[in-house]
Parts: sequence; structure tokens; C-alpha cells
Amino acid sequence: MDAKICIICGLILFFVGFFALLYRKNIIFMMLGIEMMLNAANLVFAAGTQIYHNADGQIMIFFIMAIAACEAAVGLAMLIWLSRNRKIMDTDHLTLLRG
Amino acid sequence: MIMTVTLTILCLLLILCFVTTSIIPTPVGACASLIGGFLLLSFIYGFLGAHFAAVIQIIVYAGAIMVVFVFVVMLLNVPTQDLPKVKISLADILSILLSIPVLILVSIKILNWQAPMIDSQNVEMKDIARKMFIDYLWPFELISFLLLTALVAAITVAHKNKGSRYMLKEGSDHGR
Amino acid sequence: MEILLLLILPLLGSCIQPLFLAKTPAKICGSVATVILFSCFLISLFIFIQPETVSLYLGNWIHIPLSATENFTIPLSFTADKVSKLLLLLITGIGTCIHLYSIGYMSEEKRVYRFFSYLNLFVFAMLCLVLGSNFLVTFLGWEGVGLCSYLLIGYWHTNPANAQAGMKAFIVNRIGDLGLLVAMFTIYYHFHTLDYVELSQKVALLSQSVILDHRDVFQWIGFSLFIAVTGKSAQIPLYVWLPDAMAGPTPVSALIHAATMVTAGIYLMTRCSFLLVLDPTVMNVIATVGCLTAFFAATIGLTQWDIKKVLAYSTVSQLGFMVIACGVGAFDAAIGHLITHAFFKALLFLGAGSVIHGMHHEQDMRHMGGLRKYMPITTITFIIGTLAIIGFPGLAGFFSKDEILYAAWTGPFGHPAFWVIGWISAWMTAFYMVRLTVYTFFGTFRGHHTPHESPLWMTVPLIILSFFSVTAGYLMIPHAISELWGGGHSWLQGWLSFPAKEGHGSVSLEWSLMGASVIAMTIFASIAIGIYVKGTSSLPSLFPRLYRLIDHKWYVDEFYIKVIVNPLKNLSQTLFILGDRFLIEGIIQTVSLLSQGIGVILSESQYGRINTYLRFFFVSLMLFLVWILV
Repeated sequence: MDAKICIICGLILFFVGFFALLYRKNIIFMMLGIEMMLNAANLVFAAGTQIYHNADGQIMIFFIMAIAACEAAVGLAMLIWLSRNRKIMDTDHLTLLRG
Repeated sequence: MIMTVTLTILCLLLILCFVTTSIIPTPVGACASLIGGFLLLSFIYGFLGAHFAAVIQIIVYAGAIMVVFVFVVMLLNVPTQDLPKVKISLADILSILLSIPVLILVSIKILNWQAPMIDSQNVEMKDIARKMFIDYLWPFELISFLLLTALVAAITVAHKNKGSRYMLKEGSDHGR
Repeated sequence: MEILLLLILPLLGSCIQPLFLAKTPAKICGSVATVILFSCFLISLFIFIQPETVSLYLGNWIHIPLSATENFTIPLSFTADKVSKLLLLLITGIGTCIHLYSIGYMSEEKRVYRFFSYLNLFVFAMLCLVLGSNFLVTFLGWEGVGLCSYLLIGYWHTNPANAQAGMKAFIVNRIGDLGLLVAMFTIYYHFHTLDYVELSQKVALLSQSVILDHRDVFQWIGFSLFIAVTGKSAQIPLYVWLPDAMAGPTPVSALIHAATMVTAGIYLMTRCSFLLVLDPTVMNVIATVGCLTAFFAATIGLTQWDIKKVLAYSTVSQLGFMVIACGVGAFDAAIGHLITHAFFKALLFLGAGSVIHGMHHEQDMRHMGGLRKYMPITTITFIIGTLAIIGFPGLAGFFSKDEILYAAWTGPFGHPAFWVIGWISAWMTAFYMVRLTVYTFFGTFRGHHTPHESPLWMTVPLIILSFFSVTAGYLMIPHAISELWGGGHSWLQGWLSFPAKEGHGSVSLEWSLMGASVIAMTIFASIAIGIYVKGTSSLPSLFPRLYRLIDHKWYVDEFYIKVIVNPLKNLSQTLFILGDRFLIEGIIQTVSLLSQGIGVILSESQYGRINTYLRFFFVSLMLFLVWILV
């Protein structure tokens, strides 16, 4: 029962993070949204350990965290580059790939 | 019973924190509420019996990743975002309309799902370590390599032009 | 077997020249070509002596099964029957003389291997033509000689006028070839064979009523064949290429446009004689066109000042005579005149070439005169040739031309009117040929450089040909004279033995016609000598308008250009603009514009904004989930 509540909570958190990603203009906030989504996934895995009494869930949490760290690092580095060279961090103005 | 109620309250607080993160205009405020959310998440992991996860959540996520975020926010002077004037377009309405039934449907499915009854002890650190280095050795090593790559990539991308290895002309803006 | 050798040798000779003899001077490559052709002559002699018809069958050229029972088969077979054997000797013999002559004529040219290669190729094609035993093999040779004519006329192609003359020859020939093709199609459609022997057998089986019922078919065949003849043998209306063809080297004019190629039409008519005689209308038309051509070309020959042009129009006129002979049904007289004409016309052309060579490539008569002091051999041989052509008694032309004129009056389809026109053309022949000779070789020298006699390479063939110009006539002694010693047909008639369609004439008529010709020739020759030995004449001023008309060749070329060539050019220009620019390029441009437009429209979907992409992503994700869950 607890696990189920946590899974549903994770679902809701995923959507919250996704909406943050959709509706925010600044890249920092979008990256926060991504972090939220990753954490939602973590929560579901943690609920999994409760259900299956397995170590696999926590190991997955560990891996996801590592990946989140990498992605945050690289993303922030790109953000620094952007702000240094373009001085604008709004997605409204980042339209180089526009057809 | 008490565990369930506490868990529910914690979850609700967690959702509140994350929604705050989405809505707050100031960047530092957003990061702060996210950190708060991570703390709550750590509690929840503890309640679910994932003690290792709880600890590394604090150490890695709240203690490292969010520090980097706040650091970049401070470095770049990210301006305060006004609440985005959301132009309610067709896609938005559609997404909102679609997500609610989806949520409800999925929730119902989850609640009706029969969780398998596995009777065993709580997971301990020993089991995690054993699993990690026997079953999941390969991904573990790859993850370490991934971290190394990400490190190199981040340094290369964010490096300043002056003193670059490529000895570019001063003032030239070639980027990377 | 001999035929195969006969055919392969010139072809090989033609191929050897560019492969091995490309850098050799005229003496070497010319000698190789001459030796090859002389061996062909010996083989032809050998074939001639055989009593039977010699055949060669090389398998099926075209074999298309049309249905279970029917096949479309054209065999690649060659036959040397009587007519072919005669012509074989003629082609290879005169060919050898001319090859020998060209060694001298082209001695100063660079890279003459091309010339001798084309000459050998021409001989090959001509042999194909006369040896073919069905229409298609003859057509192969027909086209081949047309091609070689084009190549050789435009030999000095760096001068655009020469190249244009070559093109004119080829194009006008092509129009004639259309006639031959149509005739072949019609013949195959009705008789299902193209072989001459089979065809003649089938035609012989037709009864008179069938022939009368299907008169239109035979008229169609006859007229189409005659169109081909007008193209190849330079009759009205397709003769216009022959005077322009004088742009080629003189040996070419001698071989192709005097002795062999232009006689291909006459050969074809002789081969198809059994088809042509079926319809009197066709024969009358042939004879009429021949008359008109003979008369017409002779008038133009009166006014020309270029030696070779005079000889060219003379060729057209003499071909007209041969066509008259075919048209009145005297095919053996046509072949006879073909043979004698080949000799003396080749002689005249080679003599003219000798004059041109000696005068350092001067061709205008007005700059010549009194050349007999400088070029004695050329003078004597040229005079012999002239006497032959005007029908001096005793020489070759006398016998053959009188045979034709007699047949024109008395032949199976003859009519006195044909004789009259032919007779008048003979006056003019005498007049202009003597004019040419006297003006060139007698009188005072009007040129600039001192001329010289030609080398032995060139004079020996002249002597050989003049010998034959004298003696060839004795093959075809007319009936009237042979009556004197109680003989029957001439050797030629005996040899060719055409189905005897008896004419209506008498010995006395023949003598009187002969006499009329000789008297007329003498009168007009004397007039010409009298006028032109002094150097110039005042005739043009007597009839200025007529002279101008004739001098401009009756404005035929201008007429053709205005009526046919220019409208065609305009039409093709219009079609080019319409078809090529608008249609084809339009389609291509439309395609490219279309793809560009679609690209522009589709690229609107690339917003470049992450948010928008994510929104679409989200919507589709939700839809997917709904679909899974429901």
C-alpha cells in the first residue's frame, strides 16, 4: 500500500517536472524540471525495493543519480558557454535550428 | 497505518515542493524548494526501506548537484523570471485535458494491481554491495567511465578562450 | 568464294590505311590502295570469264520469325550475273586507273591515308551494290556509296564550302533513298520477297489482267524507284548536288560522279526492268524526266566557266540520256552508254584534273588557253575524250549514243518526241564540249603562271582510258551497221540478252537518224571552234536575259532554298523554341520549382524552439498512453 502511494506520487511528480520543462523559458528552470523528472523515477524504483525486497531498486537509483550528475554537469557547462557567447539564455531566442 | 498516513503527508508535501519549484520566478528560490523536495524524498526513501538511497540522495543530489546548480545561478546572474505569460494554445489545452484522465487511469490501474507477496528481510548494505559488484559490475564500470567523460566534456565546453590549448588568436570568438 | 575475296579486299584496304599507313606519303599508301584494287580487277576478270552466274551466300542477315509459318528473312547473298560482271570490270578497272592517278594528283597532300581509305571503302560499297542479290544488300551498298561520296566531297573539310557541298550531296541523296525504301516496303508487302531472281519469277507468273488491276501498285513501286534514281543519278529534281560535288578532289569526281556512283541508279533500273516495264505510265515518266534533264543540264553547261562544272553538267545530261534509254525500254543501250560514258567521262575528268594540277589549282577557263603547247599528252587525251562524248563516228560515244537515240524513237515505249529532244541535247553537248576544249587548249594563254605537264602517274591512266574510249564502242555496234556484214545483235545485246521487246523500226530509219546526229554534231562543233578559237565570244550579249537565266542555273538552287530549305529551317527553329525551351526545359524547371516549393512549405514545421517540440512530444505521449491503457 505504501509502495502504491509512492508510485502514484512519482507519477504526479513526473508530470509536474514535465510541465516545468514545457512552460519555463529559461534553461536553468528547464534543467530543474529535468531533475524533478529523474527524481520521480527514483521514487518509483525505491517503491520497487519495498515491494520486491530486492537490492536492484537501490542500485538503479544509484545509477540514475550518477547519470543525472553527468547530465547536469554537461548541461550547465553548455549553459555557461551560451551565456558567455550569446549572453541570452532564453529558448525564445535560441532558434538557430529553425527551418 | 501510521506509516501510511505519514507517507501520504510526506508525498503531498513533496508534490507541493516540486510545484513550487515549477512556479517560483526567482532562480534561487526554485533551487531552494528543489532542495527541500530532495530532503523530503530522502525521508520517503527511508520509510520505504531504501536506506542507502536515502543517504546518497542527500549526499549526491542535494549536496553536489544542487550545489553546482546554485553555483551556476550565482555565477551567471540568472535574472528573475516573471511568471511566463502562458498563451493558452490548443496544444496546452489538449495536453492538460489528456493528462488528467491518463493520470486517473494509471492510478486506478496501479491501485488495482496485486503486488506480489515476497516475504524476506529488509535489504541491507551487504546485499547492495554484493549485487553491485557481481551482477551489475559492468554498468558500474561504465558509469565511472561516463562520469569521466562528462567531466572532460564539461571542462572543454566551459573553458575560457584565453589560454586555450588550441592557441587561438586573442579576441577571436571561435567557441568550441 | 571469289566474291568474298573481292568484297573483303577493298574493305581491308580501307581499314589498313588509318591503322598502319597513317604517316606515309601519297606514294606508299596510294600504291597499297592501287595494288589492292588491281587485284580486285584481276578477280573481276576471273569472275567475268566464268560461264555461269557466280553466287555467294553468307547466311541470313535478318531473320525474324513472324508467326508459326511465316518468317521475315533477308539473306546476305551476292550474285554476279551478266550485268554485274560487266559493271564489276568497269568499277575495278576504272577504279585502278583512278587510284593510280590520285597518287600523282594528291602527292603534295599531307595525310592522304584518309583519301585512299575512303576510296577503297567506296569501291567496297559499290561492289556491294552491284553484287547484291536482293534489294537490301543493294541498299547497303547504295547507302555506303552515299556516305563515301559525302566523305570524299568534303575531303578538304577545313573549307566550310566543301563541307556544305558534302552535306548537300548526302541530304539530297537521302531524299532519294526514301524512295528506294518505300519501293522496298511495297515490294515486300505485295510479293514477300526482296530477292531479284525470286521477284522476277513471281512477276513473270502474273497475268495481264492482274497487272492491269493492280496498276496503282506497280506505279507506286515504279515512281518510288525512280525517285531513288533521280537522287543517285542526278536527274530533275534531285540533281542539284552534283555540280556542288565538284568541290571534292578531281579523282573523286572522276570515280564517283562520272563512272560509278551516279550509274547506280541506272543499274537499279536495269535490275528492276521487269517491274518497270509493267506500267507504261512509269516508263513514259522516266523517259520524259530523262529528256528534260538532258536538255536542261546541257543548256546550263553552255554557260559555265569552271572546267569541272561544265563536266558536271555534262554528266547530268549524259545520265539523262541513260535514263531515256531505260525509259523507252532499251536497257541494254542504257548499259552500253553507261560503259562508254564511264570511260570517256573519267578520261575527261582526269584530264581536267591534269589541267588543274598543271595550272597550279586554277579551275576557271578564262584564265587558261593554248595549253596544248605545255601539256601535249593531256591535250591529246582530252581531245579524244571530247570526240567520244560528242559522238564522233568511230569512237565509243558514237555507237552508244546513237543506240540510245534510235531506241528513243523506235523503242518499245519510244516516241519521236524523245528523239527530238535528245537530238537537240546532243547538239548542245557537241557545242559546249568543243567550247571547253578549244577554249582551254587552243588560242593564247591567258593565265599567270606557266603550266607544266603532269607526272607519269597521271598521264598513264589518261592514255589507258583514252584507249578504251576509242574501243569500247565496238562492243555495241548498232544493228544497222552490223547488217552490213550480215551480223545479228551486237556483242553487248547478245551478252545481256534482255527479254526481247521488239521495237518498231527499220534499218533505213536507223541510218537516217545516225546521219542526222553526225551532221548536227559536225555543224555545232564547227560553230564552236569558229567562235571560241579566237578566245571570246559575243553570244552572251546577243541574248542577255536568256544568258543571265542560264548562267544562274535557271535559279533552281535559289528556288529550292526559298521554297524548301528556309521554311524547314524556320519550322525547326520554331519547334526548337516550342519543344525544347518551353516544353522540356519547362518540365524540368517545374519539377525543380515544385520540389523547392514543397521544401519551403515543409520547413515551416521546423520551429527551432524546444518548447514547441516538447509540447508536441507530450501530446503524442499522452495519446500513446491512452491508447495503451484503453
